[in-house]
Amino acid sequence: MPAELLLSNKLRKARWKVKIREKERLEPPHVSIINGTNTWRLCLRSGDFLDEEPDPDEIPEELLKYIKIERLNDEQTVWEWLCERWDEMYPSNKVASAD
Amino acid sequence: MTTLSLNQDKTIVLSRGVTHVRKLAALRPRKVSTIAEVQKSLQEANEPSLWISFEGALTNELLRSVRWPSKSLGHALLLHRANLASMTALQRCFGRVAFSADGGFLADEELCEVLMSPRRGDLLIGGFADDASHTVTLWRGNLDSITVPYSAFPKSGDGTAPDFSQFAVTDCGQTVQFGDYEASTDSILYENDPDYRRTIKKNRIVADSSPGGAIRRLRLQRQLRRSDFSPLTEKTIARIERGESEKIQPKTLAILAEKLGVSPDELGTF
Repeated sequence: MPAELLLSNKLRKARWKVKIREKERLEPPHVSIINGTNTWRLCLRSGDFLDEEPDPDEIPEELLKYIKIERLNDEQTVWEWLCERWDEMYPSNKVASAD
Repeated sequence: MTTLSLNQDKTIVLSRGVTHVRKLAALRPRKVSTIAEVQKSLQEANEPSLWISFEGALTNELLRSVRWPSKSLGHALLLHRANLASMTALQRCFGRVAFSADGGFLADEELCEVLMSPRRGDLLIGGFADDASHTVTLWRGNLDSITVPYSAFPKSGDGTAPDFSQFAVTDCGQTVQFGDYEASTDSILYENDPDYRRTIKKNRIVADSSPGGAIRRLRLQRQLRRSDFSPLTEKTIARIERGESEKIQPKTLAILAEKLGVSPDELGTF
């Protein structure tokens, strides 16, 4: 099952999705932010966007804040959870690995 | 990248009802719902158009009304259960014919969005999995097709495996679903379409564009370790990937290409 963040109603209504699918372009580890026909790839190693287009400014600030800063629960942040899920799904290309 | 010139004024929808036409309104389609209208549309078909049919009976009527040998009418998207016996006739009339045996297309609203997109060739509109040949055929928004083997969808590290009987295209053509398993359209096109690779390469903000960088990317995409390239050593692979080998010998290149499942010429495109 893909790793998908449960977003607020407002973001879901605006058709935002954040997920890691079972088959992705693997290098480097990233999370996909999907809206309509667009996808932004956010690098899980650096926190930077991987592609010039679409323009990252189109992503609502609250969504980026949720992905990068918010806590998922008492034990981990959303970002840590995404990294953990990537590592489970792609053990041959882990976030912390230099390989 | 293959592009299809879809003149939005020339979309013809074959449907007896109005629901589909309403949902495809952004394409400004001409609605054809009777035999007489099919015949009239054919008489007036001076330019290649996109014909979207929701009903087998209307598609059959179209074929019966064509004056043979037919000129190219454009492209056809069959959203009803396809009749394989009609396929050759359809291919004589249309440059591309997208079809499915059991549905497998996006819902009307998302279909419309993809067909309207300037990037439609990079998005999917539907497809099907064929359990007999163990292949998946996917239709792009420009009605071009791509066929990939089941083996292109390996089990995820967490154990999730594709269920090919549960096929769907979602996320406005950006995801292919096989039950609980999801594959990004991007990764499928990246692995199978050199033109797509060339285009997205330009869009990467930071990328190692050396041959070593390409080999590294492909190795990771194939989920291989440096130790999987025997008789080449891990050290050799690492040196090649870091660009420390001045020139990769043809014999080495042949081993790399074979292990990575591409031709030596293709290696640099990743």
